[in-house]
Amino acid sequence: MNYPVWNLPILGGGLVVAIIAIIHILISHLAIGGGAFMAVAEHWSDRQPDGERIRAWLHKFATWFLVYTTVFGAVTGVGIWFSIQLASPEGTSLLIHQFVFAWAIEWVMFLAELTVLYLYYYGWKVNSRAMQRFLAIAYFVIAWLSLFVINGILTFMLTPGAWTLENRDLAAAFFNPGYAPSLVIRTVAMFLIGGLFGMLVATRIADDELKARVVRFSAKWVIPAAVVLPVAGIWYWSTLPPSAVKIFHGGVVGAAGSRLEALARYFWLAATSGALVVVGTLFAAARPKAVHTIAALALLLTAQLGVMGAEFFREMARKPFVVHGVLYGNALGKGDAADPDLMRRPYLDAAKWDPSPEPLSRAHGEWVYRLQCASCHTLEGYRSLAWRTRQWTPAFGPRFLEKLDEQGVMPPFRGTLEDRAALTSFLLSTNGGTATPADVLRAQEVPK
Amino acid sequence: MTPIPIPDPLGYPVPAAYLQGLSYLTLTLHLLAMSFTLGGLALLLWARLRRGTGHDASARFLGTALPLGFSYLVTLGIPPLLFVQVLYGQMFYSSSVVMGAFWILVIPLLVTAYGLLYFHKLTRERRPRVQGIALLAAFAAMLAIGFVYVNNLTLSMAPDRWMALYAAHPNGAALNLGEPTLVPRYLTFMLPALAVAGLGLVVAGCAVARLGRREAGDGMRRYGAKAHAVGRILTACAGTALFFTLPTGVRDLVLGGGAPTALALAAITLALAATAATLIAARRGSTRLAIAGGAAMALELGSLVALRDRVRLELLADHFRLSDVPEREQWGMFALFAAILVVGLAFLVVVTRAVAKNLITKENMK
Repeated sequence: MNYPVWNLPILGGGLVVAIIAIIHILISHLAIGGGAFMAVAEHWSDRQPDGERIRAWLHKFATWFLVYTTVFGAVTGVGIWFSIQLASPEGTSLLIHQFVFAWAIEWVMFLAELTVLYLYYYGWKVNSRAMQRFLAIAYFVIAWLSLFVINGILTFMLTPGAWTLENRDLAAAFFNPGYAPSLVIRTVAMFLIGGLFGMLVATRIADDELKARVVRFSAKWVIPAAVVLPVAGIWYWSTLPPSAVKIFHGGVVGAAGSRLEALARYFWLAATSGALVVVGTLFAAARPKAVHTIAALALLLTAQLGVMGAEFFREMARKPFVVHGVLYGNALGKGDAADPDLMRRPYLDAAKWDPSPEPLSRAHGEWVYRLQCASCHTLEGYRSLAWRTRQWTPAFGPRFLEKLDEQGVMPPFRGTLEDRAALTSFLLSTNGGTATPADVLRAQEVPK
Repeated sequence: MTPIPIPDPLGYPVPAAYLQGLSYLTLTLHLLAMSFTLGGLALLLWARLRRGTGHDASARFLGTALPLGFSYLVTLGIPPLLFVQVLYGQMFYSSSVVMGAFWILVIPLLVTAYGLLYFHKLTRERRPRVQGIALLAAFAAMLAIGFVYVNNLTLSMAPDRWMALYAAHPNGAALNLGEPTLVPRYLTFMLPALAVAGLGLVVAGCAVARLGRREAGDGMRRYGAKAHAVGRILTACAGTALFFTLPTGVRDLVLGGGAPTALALAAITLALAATAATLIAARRGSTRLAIAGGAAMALELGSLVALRDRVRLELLADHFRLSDVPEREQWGMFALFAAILVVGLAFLVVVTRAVAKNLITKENMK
């Protein structure tokens, strides 16, 4: 209501956020886990008789690590900000205003980790061994502290805990119920990703004996995730909102009559990918000389699939909210939704961003769609409404919209019967329907 | 009707002046890094065409320095983006969505430009033939990013245009091309890049000459001084054009005495001082004077950033005032941020000095 809604065809704003976020999350975890990997590899190389050869490999690792994490990691991190402000300005505004100094602290960490990484990399030939080890450790500690900060904001969105718009309790918001298990999960996941990246770079080592040692060294980084993730996962699960657990177990009936089981699908994608990575790494550790670059890359891409599953799970578990229990995905406040008078007023009278279309015209329905639905749905692409409403009839649409929130993953519809009729007519027209909003209204008069 | 979103009810976490101060400081640093990188890229392209000891040394220095410059331009761009959202979120989000399709393109353009600069740094010896195209593409991407930014920020100050653009392009495929100040403002933001990068070359040239590579260092200084002078002249032309395309009310604000006039005068004085210091430093080979020129230029940019904010508030005066937004203070978090910032910067100074002591030596300059 307060902001325009970005009507990006086919993709929709939500999928743009997801694409950027999924790429970023793998790299950002690598940026931290890879730091720990470098710090430990520095110590490991000092204890080996051929430490110089290991450090030559580590330099290659550091080169790829630096380019990959700074170019793709840093820019996609900024990209998340760009995309969330387009997809959900209300939600972004809430987060920014509540956590501005947490984000500013994270930025200090970011500035420091970047500078330390450059000092480590560009000082490679001139720094003492003690300085290199110190810089590698410092980099990891600072990078992990940035996770410590951002984790509070990320988990707040799903489990805001005791925080409300009224009390704005920052400590409760930051150290929310999901904070600790999420921090543990992300910490072990980033070790895993750091190890997989190390293995990938190791596959380019020409000497088979050295390659085998480095692959085995890298494979060990998967162990913490393999041991801890199942336990931490159960812990995390215990903090999920009951609505998410309910949807996971039972699914919900969607607009087209089928069951929405996306939450379960994403969970299994994450779990299966994680298991595959562990099994694949065991194979790599058993036959380290045989690990080909493509196999190592496949393991990393499988981890990327796991990240995708986990992130979509997190996003789906939040549905229909951006901030659980506070703000719906289409920018409707939970407080406003509880006010029946507000909810039954003509929608476009209160909306700021419409060109005042004629009531009960096609444009009326189109603008209701644009401002109330398009922040999550597209017409023909991602979360297609044309597809979801293909079996609708003029009589069914407004009745479904009236009880939209009862299925559990949608916000309540805001507006009058005329708004619902106009929207139904517009959605029917996307499948070739010819019923006008007036026809839809008349269809409501037919005995049910 | 002009759709003006209401400010976020969560309000400002500290008085607006603090947020403005942080915004000015970090935006100035971001603009310095951006200008060094963009201008350096232009100078690198030109140096590759010209050749000669000075140009070759400049190209080598810039090829190594520009990925770092890009890295800091991105990193230092984060806090101004954060603070503009807190201060003027309702304006900034609206204009961003209205031109969303172009705004999101900034991200792939950033990846392209940044990646190509690293490509150049890592492969310039092995694959010399493709470097020109790669650098040109990076340069074009940076120019395009600047254009999108200027469109968005001018649009965020022109709410009267929002609804017509949004109704015509709900997919965000809109630019603020109807803005009379667009082109001069764009040039006023882009052209100082030559002056900043030129100054950077003068500083680097002084250091290189002092460390034993006199001919290369002298060539870098001469090249830098010329670029600085050309950048200054072009910027002065663009700045004058910008002033005369501003609405009368804004021109009156700048000339009417008080803080805006003081900021404008300070910027002009500092610009003259910075240019004089740069040109004399280039002639004498004085690193200290060149750094003093850099400090004057940073202050000059800071004055212009503050003046730009006053202009923004003037342009938005019919729709928004800072006092409209409630204050819901988070002093504890602010103090924590300030403490971490001080400790973090102190740590960086100490470790950077420790590494630089070994890194910047005659042996490494050979």
